[in-house]
Amino acid sequence: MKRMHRVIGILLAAAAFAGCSKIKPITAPKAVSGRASFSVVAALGANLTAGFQSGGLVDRHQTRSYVSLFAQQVGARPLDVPTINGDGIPPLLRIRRLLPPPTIIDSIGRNFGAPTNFAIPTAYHNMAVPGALVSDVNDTSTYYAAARANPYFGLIARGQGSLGLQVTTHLNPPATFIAFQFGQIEVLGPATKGLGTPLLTGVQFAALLKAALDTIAVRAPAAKVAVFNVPDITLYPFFTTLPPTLLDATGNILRDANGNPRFVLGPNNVRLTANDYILLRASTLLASGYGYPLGTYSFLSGAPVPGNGIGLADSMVLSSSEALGLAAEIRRYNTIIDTTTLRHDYVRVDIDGLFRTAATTGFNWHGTTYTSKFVTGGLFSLDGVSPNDIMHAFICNRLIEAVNMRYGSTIPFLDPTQYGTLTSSRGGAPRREEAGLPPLVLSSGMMLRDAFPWRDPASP
Amino acid sequence: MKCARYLAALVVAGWAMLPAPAHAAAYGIYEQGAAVLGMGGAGTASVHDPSALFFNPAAMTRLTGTQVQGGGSLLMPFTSFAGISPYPGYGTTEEMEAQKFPLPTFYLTHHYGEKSALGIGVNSPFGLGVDWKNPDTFSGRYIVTKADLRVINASASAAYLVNPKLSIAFGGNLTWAKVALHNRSFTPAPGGGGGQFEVAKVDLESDYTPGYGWNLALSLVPNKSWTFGATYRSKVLVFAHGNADFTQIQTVNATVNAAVAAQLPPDQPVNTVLRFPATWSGGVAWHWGESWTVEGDVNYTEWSLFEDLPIYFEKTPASNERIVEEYDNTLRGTFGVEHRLPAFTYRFGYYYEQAAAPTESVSPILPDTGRNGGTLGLGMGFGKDKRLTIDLYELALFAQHRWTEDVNRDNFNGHYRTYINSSGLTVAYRW
Repeated sequence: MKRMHRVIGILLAAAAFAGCSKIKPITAPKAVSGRASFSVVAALGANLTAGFQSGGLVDRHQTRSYVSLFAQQVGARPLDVPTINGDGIPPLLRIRRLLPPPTIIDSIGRNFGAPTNFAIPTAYHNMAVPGALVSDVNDTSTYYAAARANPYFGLIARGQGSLGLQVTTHLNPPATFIAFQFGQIEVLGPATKGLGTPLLTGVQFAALLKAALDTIAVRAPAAKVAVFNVPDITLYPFFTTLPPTLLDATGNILRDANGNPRFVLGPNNVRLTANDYILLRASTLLASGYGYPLGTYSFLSGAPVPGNGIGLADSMVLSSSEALGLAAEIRRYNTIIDTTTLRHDYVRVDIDGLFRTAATTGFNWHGTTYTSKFVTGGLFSLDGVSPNDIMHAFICNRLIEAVNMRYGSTIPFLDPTQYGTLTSSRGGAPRREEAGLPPLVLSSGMMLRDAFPWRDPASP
Repeated sequence: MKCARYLAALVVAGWAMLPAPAHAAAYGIYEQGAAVLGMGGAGTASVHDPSALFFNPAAMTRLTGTQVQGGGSLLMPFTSFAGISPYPGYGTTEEMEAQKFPLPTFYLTHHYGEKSALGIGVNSPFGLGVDWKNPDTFSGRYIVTKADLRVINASASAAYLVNPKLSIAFGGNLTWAKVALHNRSFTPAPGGGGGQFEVAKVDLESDYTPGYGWNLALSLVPNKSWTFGATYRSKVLVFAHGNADFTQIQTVNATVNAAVAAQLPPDQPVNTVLRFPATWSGGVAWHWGESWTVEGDVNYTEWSLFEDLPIYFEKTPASNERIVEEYDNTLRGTFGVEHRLPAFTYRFGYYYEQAAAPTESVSPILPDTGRNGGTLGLGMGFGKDKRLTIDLYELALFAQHRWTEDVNRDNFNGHYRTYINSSGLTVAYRW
């Protein structure tokens, strides 16, 4: 009897204390590269891959482009990047004023930066060039043509051969993994000028993409390539921030006596429709009364400005038909990217889907919902088309996800909140965006000339 | 009856400090009687004390005279968490405060004539107590720092002996519930860079609000060797009303502080819906001779009722929130043995219960997981005809290590480890 009590007592005590220790911290597993090797990461592409933000290229963002983040995450050889110091080339936009409304964005008073490692004897690991097209991967004939006059090629390609040639043959040790991002400028360039025709048709893009990837496969047969698809242009705040409707002093839509919204005057003084897009760079014109019919007022400058009855120029508006045409072309591009990528042992990265999520539901991260809303959404820089640092972290995670699935690797994801900054240009005091008035972007002509230098119409 | 009053007083005192941890799947609590818990909770067929009101009201027809039982359990959960990338990151560990939850029960049954019995009882079949250490730095504080679900359930059932072998029962439940949820609010830096500021403490707390349910049961005793039992307890919905308090946290940036002060929602009434699922139970008991009982039970709980926790703000509906849960129904299998000796009775049992939370919903609010429980029990009778009985149990519940598989809805990923120890005592007296 006593023995039984003793046994029961021991069992009770053992049960009470067994297993109640605290869980041990988990150490990061060693990343497995799977079928790919990430010892030397390189990149070819355009603005996004170069780390272009807020209308310029500067080291503090170049080193936080998704490629740089990816290289750090996989423990690759440190990237040689064509870094630019100071306020960048051209000087980056910044928030001049957030309160009182409207938000004012400009680059006044900022200074041009300079390259800091221009003399590097080898190619850069990140050979992405703002304004580059897929044709530039193998073709050097249009780099320095007057029609393009793109200064970034002089800074990055440096006359040492095509971008593709440099990445595949000038690096030592050679690249084992290449990020490849083209197609964005082919559609975004015209769209930001209010044009609905892409620079390359689907057929042209297909041929050039195939040639580019085939060349890489021949010159760097051991390298894996991550090919990014192309986001739809309507996913950028550059096209969605300024509504085609007239706004009152509180940012609400002006309505007629029947409750119908009143629309801005567009080309030839024809009223826009709900499906047309006003480009972000038209904000200064709208603020000074352009696009507003006589007898109405623009409040975008923070004070009432009488409408001058002059419609916005065609270059300030992307019509619904132009947007639809570009969307169809982008779908063709993305289909081509899918099929061409599959021909090799390469991986497709769906940033179109990523941008679409940002523009619709947003990303719920650490209790905050990040969206594509200009300035306050927290994902895009001040030019309205370039992702900011934290969005580059999300893009890096999308790249990691695709690579892990395709090559059986186990690269850990990174925490995007570690890459958040106070403002999009990391400077100045942040202030609250009051009311619903959209920001007023000054210096926008300059901003776009530098973002897409190959073809910039005269500033309005 | 003096004893009954004393027990009742103890029980009432216990409910005053009631926040309880989830102990069965999700926020269910199955610790409602020491004798049955000694058998791992297998009692749907063989329960033979006033806790029959919970485990199988139809079995009340087998209880003689008037019987009262009071007591409860002391639950001691311990949960810890280890993070993985991308958030909160490898190397991060968190843990809940060590807590002790008294969980009282009180049951009174009375046999009328040859065939009828009535019972009333108060218990707490659901509850949740979450309290993460260091709430100012807890990495999941944007989800929750503290959560309480308190439930007081009053039930009354009537049982009828249809024939010498079959009893049936029907009853009702009046369930009061209140919930509290505390977390921190973050906002992106207004300059668009994606940085964050922690700007407010958010405290949501409802008042006790009633909900209603019912139950059905049957008990079949075909012969001396076998007993069968089945019960059904309906779902209960509680439409709770309470208050939301927002307390600003000052940042180092005066401009942000001013902006937050202007945008912070005002303190205001808040409403929510609390869902308590229906449960089906079936049990088979085999009686070997006069002294052994072996029982196996299966419980099926309709946790799919817990789709979400909606939060409706009366003054600022734009702040309305829906915490998605989308739980799955669960099965619980229980096995228990009772051996009645002249001097005492000992019991042991084991159970396994599935997790109700899908992986996406495993979060610091409720890191639900499948669980294995092992129990030991002891019962002793005192006095004339052993009218006074005392039952004890000890349950060691090993919740399965659960990880979020990188799919948590709040992007808070890692591994949870939970251990719950529960000890209980009930004192019963029959007249």
